[in-house]
Amino acid sequence: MSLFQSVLKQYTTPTCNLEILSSSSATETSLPGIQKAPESFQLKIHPPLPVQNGKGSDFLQSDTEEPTILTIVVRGTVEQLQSLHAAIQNYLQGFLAKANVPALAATSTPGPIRFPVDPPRRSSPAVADAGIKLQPRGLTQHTLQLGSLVASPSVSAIELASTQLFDLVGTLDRYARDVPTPATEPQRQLIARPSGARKQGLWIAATALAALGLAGLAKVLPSFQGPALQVASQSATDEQRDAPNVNNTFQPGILPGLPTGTPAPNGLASGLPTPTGTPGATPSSAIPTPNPSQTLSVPGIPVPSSTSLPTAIPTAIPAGAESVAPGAKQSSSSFAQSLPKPVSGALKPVPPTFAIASRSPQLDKARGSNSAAKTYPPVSGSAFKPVPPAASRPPQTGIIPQANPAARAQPFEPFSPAAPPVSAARDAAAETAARTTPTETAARDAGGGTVFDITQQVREVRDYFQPRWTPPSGLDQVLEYQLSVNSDGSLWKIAPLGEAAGRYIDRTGMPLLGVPFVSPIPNRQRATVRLVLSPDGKVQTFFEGLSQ
Amino acid sequence: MRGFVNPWVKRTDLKEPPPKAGLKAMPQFFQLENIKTQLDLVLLALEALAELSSEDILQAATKLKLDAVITDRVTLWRLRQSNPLRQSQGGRKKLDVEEARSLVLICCDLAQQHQDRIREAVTLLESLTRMHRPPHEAPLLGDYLDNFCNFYQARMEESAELDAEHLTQLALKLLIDLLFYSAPDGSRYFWLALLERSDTPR
Repeated sequence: MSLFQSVLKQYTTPTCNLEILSSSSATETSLPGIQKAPESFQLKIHPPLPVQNGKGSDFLQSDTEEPTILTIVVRGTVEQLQSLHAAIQNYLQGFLAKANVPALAATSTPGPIRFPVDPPRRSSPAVADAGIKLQPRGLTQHTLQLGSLVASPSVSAIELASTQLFDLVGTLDRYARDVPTPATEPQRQLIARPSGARKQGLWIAATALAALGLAGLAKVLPSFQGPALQVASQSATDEQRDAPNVNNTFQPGILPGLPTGTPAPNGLASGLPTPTGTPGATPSSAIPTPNPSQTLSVPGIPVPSSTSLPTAIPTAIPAGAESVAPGAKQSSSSFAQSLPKPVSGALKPVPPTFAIASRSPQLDKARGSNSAAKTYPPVSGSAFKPVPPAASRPPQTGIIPQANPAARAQPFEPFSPAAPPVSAARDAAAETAARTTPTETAARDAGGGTVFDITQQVREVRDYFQPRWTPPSGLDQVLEYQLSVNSDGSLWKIAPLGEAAGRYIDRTGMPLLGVPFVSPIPNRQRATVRLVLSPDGKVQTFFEGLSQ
Repeated sequence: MRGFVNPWVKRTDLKEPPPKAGLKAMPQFFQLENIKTQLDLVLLALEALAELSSEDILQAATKLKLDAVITDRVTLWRLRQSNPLRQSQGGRKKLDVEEARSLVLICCDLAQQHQDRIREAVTLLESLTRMHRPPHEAPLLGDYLDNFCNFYQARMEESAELDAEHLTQLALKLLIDLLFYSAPDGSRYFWLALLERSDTPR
């Protein structure tokens, strides 16, 4: 089966276009609603836009230089994209912090006004992984050394104008808001870890207070401390998270501003890592000057903006995601060869192969007859059956093992608030454990958790969808989705099972990827939950497995 | 953790000779690195480019719900007077962190409001630099530079005066900075830059 790259998400600014790509088969991309993991990127850097006709642009018509029309395309992995973002952020912080002014024109280019370039600051040029570096070239130019990134045409460095750098930073900042990256991790830790936030916030406060003459000490310190910082940060994060989904097209002049509804000082403090902690910053003298022959500058021409392609991005790349891509129209036998081994944990009622087998014709037929709930064993304390050892499991024929019909009828009764789920689950666990082989027990222990650790989350998934699920008129079959839940309780993948599920996914009230909607899963595990939405309004959830 | 460097202590790692008394030399770099100075200069650049008034700044404060910190023109004036380069009579007001952060937010909000104009000015500057022509050939840049120089000379102390070339350089650097401050994450970049200035390496 041929593979090609599909665009998962696209970010566009006047001089910059970023596409997040994923490799997939033709059949995968034909299924609607399937979320794929980002693997690579393609960044197009267009020449700077010309000056708009307006006040004082006529004089530029005398420019006799014929600009070379050229768009540079940079490609790499998402990890390299994160390195690029980190390098640019570090560089920009150093550039903006420069007190004295570099020469207006590049030192190698005669300009109308020239001053000595100031001595390098420690954090001015950024050095990140992948060999990506930046250094100033005059006041309005910046040299971006691409390191391990691949560019077309083949160059080792790009001369960026300030407006291009501005667009590039804006693009990467938007991408980083959608997908957590190492570059943004420190800020996220400020949000997630009160102690870390407090520590960093106090450091910021201490620095600023010292700089400002120790004024207002008693007034200031409380505003930097953890709780206020978290609230403001979360508010900003939520706003930023929503914005790109509406429109990914950069619109100068109507940029989303600061969280105006948020108390401003806290809102500002929320995104303030200490500058002295910038990793990898070295003096610019340590950065080799790019070979001029290989440095490509981008002259000014008008370039139309690309259209946006709003598509959600999974927040993480799952291991073996391709192997378990549920939307793939492959035969169960061919999938079985590429399937990952079931994750340790003998209590899993359904191994990962279960999801693949569900693509079989038999199962599709069963699903079409509205019998999915009868086909899959629901998660319940009384009905919980251990997974038989692999050797005793039936071959991958697509035949789904039948569960106790009585248990299927009310899959979550043991977990209702009236009946504490832990006791029932614990009983079943004890029974199961007694029948578990030593090997399975060891594997489960190594995994650091059991299915009972997430029964609450499975119930919460059902509780989340129950009030939101209103069957569309005309729906005559169940809709099934395989939901992969991060350890933080957010979704990282939604896999519609069947064409109807893909078609009606926008009617399900599905939460956004990366937004926690159930409780965190212990032991940093991920859970797979099958969601069944019936035409009669019934919502069922079935636990399928845990993974690290 | 690096220790705090007093911006008023002259750095010894700078290559430039110290300014001679009575000459219109550049202020000490550590002076420009001062947070209070930088906040005032960024506002000055915004005023010069977008022809803002103090009323516009106060409106931005109200919009950002910062009117409790910056209540009126007098408060705003006193905050800006904390810039040690400013002409001042009597005691200079101290600036606390809340006030500094409020000014950062206001600056970035105003920069966002006038992003089109800032970008146009930067684009002009890039074009002229590429053509090896002086920036004031563009009327927009010329007006900006004139306004900035006039404001600076009228409001700063005589000892802080710069010659025309250095003043132009300062104005153009602030113009580039404003472009980045107009980004959605501009306030973070601005704040980090202020902290970096106050924590310069020895």
